[in-house]
Amino acid sequence: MISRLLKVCFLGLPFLLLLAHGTSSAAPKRSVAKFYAQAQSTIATVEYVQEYLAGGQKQQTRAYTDGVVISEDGLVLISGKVRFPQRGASGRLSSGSRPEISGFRLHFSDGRSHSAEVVAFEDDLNLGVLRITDLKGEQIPHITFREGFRPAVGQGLRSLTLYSAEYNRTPVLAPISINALLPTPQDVWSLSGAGASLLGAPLWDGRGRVVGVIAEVPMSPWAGRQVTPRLSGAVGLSYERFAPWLQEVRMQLQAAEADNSAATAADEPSAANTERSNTQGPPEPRAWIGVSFEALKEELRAHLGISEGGGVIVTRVVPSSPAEAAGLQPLDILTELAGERIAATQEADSVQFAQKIRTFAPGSELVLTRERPGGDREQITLRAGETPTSNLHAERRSDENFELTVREVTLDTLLGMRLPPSTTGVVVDGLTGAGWAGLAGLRVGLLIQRIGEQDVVDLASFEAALSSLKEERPSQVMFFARAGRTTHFFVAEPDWTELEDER
Amino acid sequence: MLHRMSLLRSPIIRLALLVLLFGLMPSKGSARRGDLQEQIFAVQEEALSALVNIRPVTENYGRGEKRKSSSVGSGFLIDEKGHIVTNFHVAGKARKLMVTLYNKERIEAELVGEDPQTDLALIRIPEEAVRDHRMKPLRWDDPERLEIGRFVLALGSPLALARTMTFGVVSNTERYLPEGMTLPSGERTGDFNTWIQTDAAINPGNSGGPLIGLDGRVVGVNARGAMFANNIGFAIPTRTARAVVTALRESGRVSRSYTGISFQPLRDWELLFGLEEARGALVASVATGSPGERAGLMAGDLLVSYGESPITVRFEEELPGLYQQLADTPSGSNVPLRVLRRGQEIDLGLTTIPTGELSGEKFEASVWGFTVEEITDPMFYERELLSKEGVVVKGVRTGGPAHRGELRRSHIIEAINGEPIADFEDFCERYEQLSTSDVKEVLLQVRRYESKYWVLLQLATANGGVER
Repeated sequence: MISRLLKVCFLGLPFLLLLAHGTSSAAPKRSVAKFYAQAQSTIATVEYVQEYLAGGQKQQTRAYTDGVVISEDGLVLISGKVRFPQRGASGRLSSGSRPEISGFRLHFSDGRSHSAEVVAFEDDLNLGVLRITDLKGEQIPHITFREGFRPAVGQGLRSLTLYSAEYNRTPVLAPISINALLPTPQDVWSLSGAGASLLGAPLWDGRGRVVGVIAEVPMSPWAGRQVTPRLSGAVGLSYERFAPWLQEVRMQLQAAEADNSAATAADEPSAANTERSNTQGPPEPRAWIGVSFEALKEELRAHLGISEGGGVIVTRVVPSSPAEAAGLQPLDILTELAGERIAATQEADSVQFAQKIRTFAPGSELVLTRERPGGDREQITLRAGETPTSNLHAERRSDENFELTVREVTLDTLLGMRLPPSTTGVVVDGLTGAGWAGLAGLRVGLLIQRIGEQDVVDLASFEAALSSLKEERPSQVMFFARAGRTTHFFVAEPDWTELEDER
Repeated sequence: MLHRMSLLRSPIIRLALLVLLFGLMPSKGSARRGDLQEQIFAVQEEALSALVNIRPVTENYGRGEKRKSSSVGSGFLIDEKGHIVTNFHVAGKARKLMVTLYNKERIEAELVGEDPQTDLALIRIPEEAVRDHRMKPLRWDDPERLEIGRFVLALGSPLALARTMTFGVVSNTERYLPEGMTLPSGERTGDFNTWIQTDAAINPGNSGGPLIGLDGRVVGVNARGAMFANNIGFAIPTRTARAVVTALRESGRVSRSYTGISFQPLRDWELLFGLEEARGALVASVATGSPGERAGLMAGDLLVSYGESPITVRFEEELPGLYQQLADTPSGSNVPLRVLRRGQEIDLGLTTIPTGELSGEKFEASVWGFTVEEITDPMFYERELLSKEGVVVKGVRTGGPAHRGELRRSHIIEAINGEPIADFEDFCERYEQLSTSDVKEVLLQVRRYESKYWVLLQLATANGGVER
């Protein structure tokens, strides 16, 4: 049944598509045709539901992304973007607030449809894995990854995605080429021909094997002078980068299944499953020392009389960080990490130092060599900490009544506000303009430190403060918040009768 | 041009124009309108004789080198001695001031004093010029007479069109424009007044010109306009302008105290602070190291009394008055404060300090390709700098050694070749020494907030010569 459908697709479309690209008017190469025939059964449009808080009510938006089946038991790789508000979506929430996601359905070009659930997300790579839940032991076509792929500038790759539902989810083949290898901690490739609409789409080589995916990744907060993590545009992410994580996800699934079968049909196994599906696998250990730095350029090295071979200059030391405890200071020059030369001589190289630090486990001892102008060297031993949560990945809480979403305060936020790292509170992450919090004048980015008479130090105390308000129902609620050194009182005037009406 | 001429020759168009003009002419039949027209006629001749067009030449250091620039503004004569009021953003820091009088004669003026915090400046032309050209000074109006709806005339040089008069009403007398307004030259301004809003058309070039009533008295000094709007202009009220001008005439400057405190109005939130009636002003921020911080004041406190006087600020329009009260406290005074902090009344003592210069001296390090500015006390507090030592980079010349070394505007230079820079003079001295020697490389140690960088200036160009 499936194979017959595949043939039908195969005969007509690639020819047309190649015409559209203007590459050739002749019939497609056999290798392309073969790839197309095989690959299209592995890709799906992933439909899901995002639930927003808007106008005091939960609103649902249907959204779509691309997914690719990566195993015969129905694991599907998708972009982590599904957890964030859709760009250009009508959602009235301010950007940054995270919707709830559910209702995953996969639609294949041959008419198959399946339900799926979330298995895991990886924050650094901004990727996710779904599992098809209604396979009933059936095996489905999946891609094979190519290991040991060496990307090179100018290399031609292909993407295959499904066109929108109006066109019966027609597979679309697109030539993509690598136009730069970006020296970020993620080792991503800049691609020509890949836009945001292709996020999550696999990148195939000429032989029909997948060498990576099109992803949108948060750049490292500690590379060079950049302090705030940013999402990059659509870039290519090598399979080598996410293979260990996929492996880990698989192992956890196997372990979970083993647990399940051990506790055979106890109480409500389906509920247990759902719970597990929402937990995100433990992040891989990432060491952190708390410095910003830049590469030691050749002219400066020569001027300062530092030994040849490169290094990094510390530009900033985070207060209360491992680096500060070890006595590192701005303008220190580091030339070795764990006995190896830090071979950074231009900005692009310095990220390798960041990457290397992240390969250590938090808590492990790092030995750095500091070189003074003139050439005196000394060794510094420090105990690595764990990479702090970035703004992107901070935990969030929403309150429907105040139409307010907050997130835990991160080191990035505090450093950005020039506040001490020990400062507590929660950060406004999203709100509805005409909601109770919005009308009071609260703004995205403010650090809430007090609600009414209750101190807000974290998400738990935020929730506690709001739930006690709902008991008391005061006519005015005071928020005390700060942006840097400037503070502001905001007074919300909740209309509690709205709640009565809803009941 | 030709096209328009031929249009005018068309009889139908001529007729239409006549009708339109007639329609706009005041009807002599109406006594009230006639009065208005007569009043405007009566005031215009005298008022225009006090109006001047100002062409200042200023020095600009923003692009990494000293550049001369010129602009156009307005001003008005306030006494027989030749004093002319204008805006700081017109004549402030001017190296040369050329003034065009109502009769199109040009004379040179000198800068008497300036006050960036209210955006006012006072310049002067020779006493004889006032006499020779029969200029009649304008008089300040009584601030109590300022009312919404009052007819006003704005005089000035909008878009450099000299001797322009526009007409409107006072639209609002206490417009509060959000704090943190910065002048083009970087100084913070506008904390001490609410603004007169008027629909008399004000455009760029009107700055410094008078807003006068139909009796010819000065109601305000035109200073700002709303962008992308029609006829929303703002003038500095006479209440503020007169006091500043008096101080500038007497001493060339306005002395103010600095406390480092900013406030938020209390609104109707007294019950939330456990008060029975509205009193106090909320402390929004206290600058690091400022008198306010040294007094122990904290953001979130409610200041209920300052010295002997109880404080109440319920609305933002009342903020400028409070800032004025604080600034008017003589420097070095010990002022008792009473604050309410989470339900507890606390007594504190504040010692005020002089405000100091909002911006510092500037200097062009031409061989190195950048300009620097002295760090003044207000810069230290407002920018939350970590130290007063060093100099601030004002601008970096594109393509110069500093630009290649990645020096950035607002970086602070802490050391040159490993030797700390104490202050502005120290920097200038070191520069003179090094730029006249034949060193090929200079190492700067720079800071931006908590980060530090090295900047290597390579003075030898690729072909071996030294730049400039």
